[in-house]
Amino acid sequence: MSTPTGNETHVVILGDREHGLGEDLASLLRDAGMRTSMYDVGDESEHDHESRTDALTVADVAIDLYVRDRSRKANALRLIDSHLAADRPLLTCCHAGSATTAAAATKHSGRVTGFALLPPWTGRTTVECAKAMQTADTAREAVEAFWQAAGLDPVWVGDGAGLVLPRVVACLANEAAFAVMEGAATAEDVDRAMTLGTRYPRGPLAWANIIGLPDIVATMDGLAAEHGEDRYRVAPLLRRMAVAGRKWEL
Amino acid sequence: MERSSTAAHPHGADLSGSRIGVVGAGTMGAGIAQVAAWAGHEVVLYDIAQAFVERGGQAIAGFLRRGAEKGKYTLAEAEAALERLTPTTDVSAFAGCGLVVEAAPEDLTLKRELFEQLEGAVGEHAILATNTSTLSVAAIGAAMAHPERLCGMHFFNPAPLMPLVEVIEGPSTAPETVAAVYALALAWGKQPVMAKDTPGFIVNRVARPFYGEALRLVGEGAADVATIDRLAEDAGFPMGPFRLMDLIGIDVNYAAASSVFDGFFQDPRFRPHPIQRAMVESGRLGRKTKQGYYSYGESSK
Repeated sequence: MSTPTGNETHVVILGDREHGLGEDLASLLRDAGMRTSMYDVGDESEHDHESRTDALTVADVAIDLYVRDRSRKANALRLIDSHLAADRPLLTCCHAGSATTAAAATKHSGRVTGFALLPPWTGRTTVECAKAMQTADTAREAVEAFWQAAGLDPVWVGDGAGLVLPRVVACLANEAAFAVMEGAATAEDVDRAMTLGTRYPRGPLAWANIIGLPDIVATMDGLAAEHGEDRYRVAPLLRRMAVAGRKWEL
Repeated sequence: MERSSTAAHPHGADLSGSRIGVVGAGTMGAGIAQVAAWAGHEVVLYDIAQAFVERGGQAIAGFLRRGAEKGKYTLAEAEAALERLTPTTDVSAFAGCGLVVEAAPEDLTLKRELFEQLEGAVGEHAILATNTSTLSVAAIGAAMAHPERLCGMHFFNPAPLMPLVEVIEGPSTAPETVAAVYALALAWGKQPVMAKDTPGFIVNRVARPFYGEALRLVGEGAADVATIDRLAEDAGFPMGPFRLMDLIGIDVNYAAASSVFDGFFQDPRFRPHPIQRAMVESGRLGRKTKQGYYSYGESSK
C-alpha cells in the first residue's frame, strides 16, 4: 500500500458540513502541508456530485468523518469505496461505530482503518487508531505515516464504538445529563462540581456542548447497539435536547 | 426551570463568628477544623479518644506551620489559628456551637447515634451537618428530633486545599439550613454547590464512568492501562483513570463505586468491575501498597 506523506498528499474528507469536526480536521491537514478538500454527501447538485467523484479518484487518502448521520456515513463509505483507488487508505471515524462495521460496508475492506479524535484538539498529540477485523496487515504502515505527517502520534487501540476517549467522555456527559434530569443539581452546578472536585479539563456538560449533543447521543447509541447493555442508554433529557438542537446553559 | 445555585436562597442563620464543632479528628475532620479555624472561628475538635484528637491537632499544626515556612502566611497567623482550636473527647463541649460538622467513619448506626447525642448537646438553633460521601442525609437524620436542621456538607480531600463543597439538601432539611451552610462555605473561601440527597451526590456519581469505562476497555482487551492513561492525559485530564485510582486507593475507589451502585438499586450504569475487586482482594491498593495498576518502587517519587 502506498505511503502518502508530504506536500503531494491529496486528502478528501467526506463529512457533515454543519459539523465542526470537518473544518478542524481539514485545517489540521492543511497546516501539515496536505492538499485537503471537504465534501458533504448531503450536497445533492450535479456539480457537487461530479467534483466529489473527481476528487476521490485522484485522492491519496479519503476520510469518512460522519458521526451522527448513519445514512450519510453509509453513502460516504460507498462513494469512497467506489472511487478511491483500491490501494489508497480509507480512514473512518469511529466515534459512533466500529471500524469493522464501516469496513463491512465496503468491497475493498482491507484498506479500511478506524480513528477517533475527540474535540477539542488544541494541543493534542495523539490520535486513536483501530484496525477493523478486515484490515490488511499492510494497511497499518500507510496509516501511521499519514497521521505522523499530520503531526499526530497514532495510538492503536481495539476496535469498537467510540474507541477510548469518545466512549469515556460520552458516558461522563450522559451521566451528568441524568443527574440534571433527575434534579440532583443544576447543569451549572454539575459542571462546577466536576471541574472543582476532579480537575477534569472542563465540565462534562461544557464538553458535550463542544463535541455536540447529537454526537454524544450517537456514541451512546453505538455503544448500546454493540454491548446490548442498559448501561449505555441515553438520558432522555439529553436525547430531547440533541433533537431540539439545544445546548447546555452553563 | 433550573434553579440558580447562587441566587434565591432563603436567608439562613448567620454563622459568621459562630463557634464551629467538628466530630472526628481523622484526615477529613482535621482538614475541616483547620479550614474553620483558619477562617477565624473558634473550633471544637472532638473524637472518641484523646490519642485521636491529639493526632488530628498535630496534623493541623504540621500543615499550618509548613505553610508558614513556605512563606504563604506568617507563623504568627498559623499560631493564632491553632490557638482557636480546642480538642475534646466530650460531646458537651459543643454546647455553644452554631454549627457542628460530623466527619466520623461511614457507619450509619454510628452516625445515627452521634446525631442523637449531638442534638442533646447543642442549642436549639444550632445547625448540624454531615460530611458523608456515601450515606444519605435522609438515613442519617431519620432518628433525629429535628432533622430540618441537618444537611450534608461534603468536603473533598484534602479539605484545606480543595475548593469544592457539596451542600446537600435532605428530604427534611429546612431551606434556612442549607442557606446558612452555603453562605458559610463561601465565607470560608470555598466554592459550594447545591445538590439533592441522591447517591454519590454530584462528583462521586458523575465521575463513575471515568473509571468504569476505562476498566471495561481493559477488561475487553481493547487497550492497556498505560495506553488509556496516555490518551486521557493527552486530552487534558491531569491524571489518567488508572494513575488516579492508584493515587486515591483502589479500595477507596471500589468502595465508592459499590456504594453508588447499591444506592441506585444495581443500575448497570454504576456496576463496578471484577478487575477492581480482584485488585482489592489481592492487596494491590495503589500507591499506598506500592503496587496497583502500576508498580511504585521504593525509589520512585
